[in-house]
Amino acid sequence: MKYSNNKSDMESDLSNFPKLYQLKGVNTFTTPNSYFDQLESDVLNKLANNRTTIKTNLWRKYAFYVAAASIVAVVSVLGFYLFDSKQHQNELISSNTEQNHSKPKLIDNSTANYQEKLKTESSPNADQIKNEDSILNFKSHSLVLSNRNAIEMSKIQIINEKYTTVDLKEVLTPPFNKTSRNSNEQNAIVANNVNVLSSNTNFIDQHIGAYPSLAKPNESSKNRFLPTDTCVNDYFSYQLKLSESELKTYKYVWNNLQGGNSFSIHRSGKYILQYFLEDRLIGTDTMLVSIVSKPKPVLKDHYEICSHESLLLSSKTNNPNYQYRWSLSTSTKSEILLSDLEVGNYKLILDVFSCVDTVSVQTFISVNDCKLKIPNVITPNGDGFNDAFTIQGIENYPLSSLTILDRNGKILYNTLDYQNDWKADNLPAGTYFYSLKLNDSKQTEKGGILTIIR
Amino acid sequence: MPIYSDNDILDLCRSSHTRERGFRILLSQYRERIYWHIRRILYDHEEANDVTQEVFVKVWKYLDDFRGDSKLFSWIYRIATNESLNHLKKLQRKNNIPYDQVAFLLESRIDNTQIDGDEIERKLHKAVLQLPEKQRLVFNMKYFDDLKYREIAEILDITEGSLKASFHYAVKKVEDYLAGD
Repeated sequence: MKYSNNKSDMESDLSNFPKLYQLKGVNTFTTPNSYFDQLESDVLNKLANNRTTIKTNLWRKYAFYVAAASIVAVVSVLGFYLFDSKQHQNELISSNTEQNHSKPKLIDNSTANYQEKLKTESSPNADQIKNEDSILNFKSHSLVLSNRNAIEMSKIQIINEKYTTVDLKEVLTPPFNKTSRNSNEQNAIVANNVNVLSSNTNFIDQHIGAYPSLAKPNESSKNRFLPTDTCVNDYFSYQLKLSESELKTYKYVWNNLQGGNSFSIHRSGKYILQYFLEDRLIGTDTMLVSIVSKPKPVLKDHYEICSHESLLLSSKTNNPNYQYRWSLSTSTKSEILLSDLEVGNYKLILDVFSCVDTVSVQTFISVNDCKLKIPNVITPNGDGFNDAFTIQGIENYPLSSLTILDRNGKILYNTLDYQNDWKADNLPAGTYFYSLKLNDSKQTEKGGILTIIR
Repeated sequence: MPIYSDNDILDLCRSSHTRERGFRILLSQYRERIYWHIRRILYDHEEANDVTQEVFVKVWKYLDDFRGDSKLFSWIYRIATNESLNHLKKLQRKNNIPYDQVAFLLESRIDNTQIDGDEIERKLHKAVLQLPEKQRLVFNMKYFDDLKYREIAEILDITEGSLKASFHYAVKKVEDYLAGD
């Protein structure tokens, strides 16, 4: 049989094989649209997650300060308040995380309070609530929300600056893509809602910059009938509690066209209530609602790897409103790549935080020492003991190549993928050498003396 | 985008200032080839996607250790091959089946996975699955990926002679399988 070195002669190679010749070049597999662009950004994301976690965290802080600064430019007092509230938020979350295994209810309580309040509020004015706790919780909600929005907005602003400084480390940190998309969605919702009332110029303020100011405490306290901004994990029903006289006095218009004094909120967005007295607009209440569903992270119960292998763990959740904490990593992303783990058993805990929920899952990781045991002598006499050159653990390194040489350096045996099957057939007793090239990431080479006794 | 040679890419990757740029170029030049190489071993898109990402993460991680005594091209392909076979091993471990039975597992994917083709194309892939692992790799790289014998020899670290022989055996087996009922 004649072979050709030339690729274009491939066809002549196939000339005797009509079926294969006919099928040549057919690609039977498909990928999702623009998969390869996605692949590229996924890989870069992954690298960014692994390498620049700390940087990202710093950058987030920085983003926050820029946010605060930009808001100071608008309302200096508000800027100070946000700074304060940032700390509030940290306290809220950190106290929650410290206790999340024993007391996961901390934040849940506030929701309960809140929802209870929604239903039982006897006075429509939120400021008149006497329950100190629930007011506090209310504030916490609005603070969380406002900070998030402030940060998101500022991130968008920062993107451009970041790119102009061309810090490659930062370019490799692309979380803002997601953020801006998310903000756009938010924006779209707002715009959607606002359009309903586009005839009224008071509601055209749909710029995202309007978000942080909504969280101003005095602003939210202006709400006469609606509670302040909130973040919950499920849809909820809301009923305006109005006295009969109020019902008679005012006329109410919702921005989502649902009239009346009760409705259920199914999606995140900005809810606006206008009230009219004799067709004259006398007030507007605004409430930002974030509905962030409860995280459902999934990890297998048990992972088993060799110490030279790396392990990619994914929480299988991907919601930009979640925060992640991994016990074996500083990463705050939904996926981590564990590598270079010491031999041993690990318990890994993943906490996923949304605005009201903390969900923990745990898994056990066994890192095995997949060290090789290479014999230095074999006795190929067919007695069932040491007949073959058996390297224990080689199955953990598929495609490892093995070469056996005699004392003159002559190659007696060479294989790409050693399967523990060399039995020194037809070789006299004596001393030989082996060279083993492991197919691990470092292409480790091992060599030594092998004695054959017959 | 101009085509960069492996040496250009390596030069870029050597300096810490241009490393990211070099890697991006590497990624864009290799992503499709490596993905298809892996997909033809695993068949399933999601798994191929995972493994491909893993491969490039490793390439990035070990780029410093890359000694340049093989070509970048064959180095990346080798990582991809190893990762894919490792993945098969994990599948086998997970499903608690002997390693040589993985083909059965994969065969079910040919019927289920996102294959557009008709019956004969399914049959082609099933035929390839009958090959021993090494021959299957060789056949994939030669028949589907159109790599040169020299390149495959570098990737698998075997001589061109034995490579051609194994490809020929593979072709013959596949053709026989296709011709049969």
